[in-house]
Amino acid sequence: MFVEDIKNDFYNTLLGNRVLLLVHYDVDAVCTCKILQDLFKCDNILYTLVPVGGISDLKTAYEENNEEIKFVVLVNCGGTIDLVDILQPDEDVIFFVLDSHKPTDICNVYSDGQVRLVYKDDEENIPNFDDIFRDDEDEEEADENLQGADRLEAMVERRRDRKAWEERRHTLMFNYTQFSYYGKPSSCVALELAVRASRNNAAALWAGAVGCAAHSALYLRPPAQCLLDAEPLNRCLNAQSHSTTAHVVVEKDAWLPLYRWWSVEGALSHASFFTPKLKLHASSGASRLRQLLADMGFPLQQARQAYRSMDVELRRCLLSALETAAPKHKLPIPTRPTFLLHKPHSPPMAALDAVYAIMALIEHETLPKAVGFQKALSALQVNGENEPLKVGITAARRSLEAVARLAHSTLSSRGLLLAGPFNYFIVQEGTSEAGLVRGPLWLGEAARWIATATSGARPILASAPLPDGQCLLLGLPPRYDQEPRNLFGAAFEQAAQKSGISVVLDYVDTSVIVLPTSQRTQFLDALTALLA
Amino acid sequence: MDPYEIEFIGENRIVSIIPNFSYDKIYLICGEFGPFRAGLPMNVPLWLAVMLKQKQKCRIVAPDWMEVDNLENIKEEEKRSRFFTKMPNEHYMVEAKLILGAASEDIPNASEIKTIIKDIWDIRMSKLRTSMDALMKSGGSYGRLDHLTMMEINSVKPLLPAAMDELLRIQMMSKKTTPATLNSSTFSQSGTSQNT
Repeated sequence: MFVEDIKNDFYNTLLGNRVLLLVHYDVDAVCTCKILQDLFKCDNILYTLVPVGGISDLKTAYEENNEEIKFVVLVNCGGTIDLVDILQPDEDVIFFVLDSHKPTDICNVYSDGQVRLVYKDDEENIPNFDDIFRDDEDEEEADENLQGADRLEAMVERRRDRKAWEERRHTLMFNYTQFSYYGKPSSCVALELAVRASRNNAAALWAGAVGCAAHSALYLRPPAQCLLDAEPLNRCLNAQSHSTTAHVVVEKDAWLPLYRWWSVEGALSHASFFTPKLKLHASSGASRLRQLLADMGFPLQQARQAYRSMDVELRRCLLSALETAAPKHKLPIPTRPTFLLHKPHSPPMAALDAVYAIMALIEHETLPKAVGFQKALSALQVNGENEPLKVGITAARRSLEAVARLAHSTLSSRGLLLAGPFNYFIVQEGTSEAGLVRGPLWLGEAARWIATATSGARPILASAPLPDGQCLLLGLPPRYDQEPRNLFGAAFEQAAQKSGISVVLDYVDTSVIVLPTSQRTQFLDALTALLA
Repeated sequence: MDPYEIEFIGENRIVSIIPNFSYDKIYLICGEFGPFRAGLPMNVPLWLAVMLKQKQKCRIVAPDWMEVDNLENIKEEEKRSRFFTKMPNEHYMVEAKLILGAASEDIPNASEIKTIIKDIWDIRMSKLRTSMDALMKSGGSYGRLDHLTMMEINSVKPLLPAAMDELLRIQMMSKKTTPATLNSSTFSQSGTSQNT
């Protein structure tokens, strides 16, 4: 069922009780968790925080921690699965689900109070209750009163009705579940909760801004929707005091990841949103980049310097230079209004940079996942020296460089293979990049890069090696920047059923699966046959 | 003594807050405070104010001395005078750090105040260092410094007694060896004392 009043029905019920907080490994979930943690600290709510990577993690975490806990809050996980069925909880445990993964499972929507969805998304076309669940017992009773031929007629009539209803149900469910997509960022919902509870401060606003930026940087929502999602955030931004403390603003900024921590040339060669169009993997790519810099009016030596040591005049005219030079090379304009954090005695911090830093911390090469998660939470702090953020930014730079190298090598060695209606590429085991793109977030970044380079009209599948002879398979829809609705979730499930391969459908995002490397080609063949 | 201990002592000072909740009187070990009425200012210890502020349950009112003009005057005084001037508060550093850290949005011009207080601290510390230097050079017998706060005294605490000990040891050594040089005899007694 849906929670109508977020403050009274959700937050006030949690006051004074122990809460189990289960959070998924992604940027939006980290931001939401930070906002919720600050709220819980203010009101002395005891909580247990467990980060989960997939559905099996969710199950183990619930089983280990569910003694004497009556309230469970799930952030960005559990919305798309039937919770009561999978977790088998006690009768009086209440689940609050704040998940931006859609489509929400029907059993969660029509649960009678045990599973409560904190946010109602109007864009989902949830089928009506009567179209899906049908009560057949009453009708059979009515039949016993009729006699003989009438009874036979009534039974035939009913069977026909039932068949028609089942067919309708089947089509409805198929239409509802075939695409997997994302709804409003959970951090925006959490921010609204903070505002209603009057605990709105710069830290909560910054976490909300980073969550919104994540959805637009990772292309989880169409760009128009992203602007609409950021609407409550903009309302709160106007209400904050712009004095000499940390505050968040919306300003036009270059959409180049990490450019303030890198050099201009470095940032330009690693921006997945428009660098692939420069075709740096081709031999003429480097000269194209130099031509772009020349058009912008930046001397090569300055562009190669760290941003902070660059000439101040050049720094000031970076935005206008980008805007004039990009159309000449038929590139999309890389500046757009984004969120920046202004702190006294500190250079401004872009939300986009924070997104990449958190991504790198969650999927770090050497840090274990739980440690990375805690570091990511502290990287969102607004006061003080932000050490975890700096660690995250260095890791993000390495990962972006690895993604670029991977894309270049795949494209130049023709590693992008054709299979039926889609393209696919495989990351070879043992390359230096294999360690860095092991997780779904960075592998997705690599897939998006390759899709932009080949003008993304076909869906792309990416595969990366995992330890123990398994590999990760990720599907990206065609034209991902306009239409992020992903059909690979349902497609993977069906292909797995048909080919009988032991696929692990563990990830909350259904377009990512794990399967044994030896059976990968078989699976791809089955998929080709399915989608042809 | 650690700086934390001085912070602990300094936290006991009374500041003014405006709570946003209502509650009865509370009876603490150090005294009773309250009743809390939302929107009405009241006096509480600094540690209680910072704790409430972190839970977003109050607003801290800036102390009287924490204003740009006031602090600018103090800074000018400090620069001009050769000796130390009286600080507005015995624990100005502790109060400034805690209030500006937890409640910087309640203080107008917080970042300028931070800079000015840091400047005052730097001026006083450099004066302290030169006066320590002069004390040691003059033989380390007597020095008088007025209007020093606890935190500043604590920063030279590890250095001063150790330096004076060394000075005394050197003086003792030189007193022992000077009679031996006056004695021109070649007795083994003086020889051994010279060798030690």
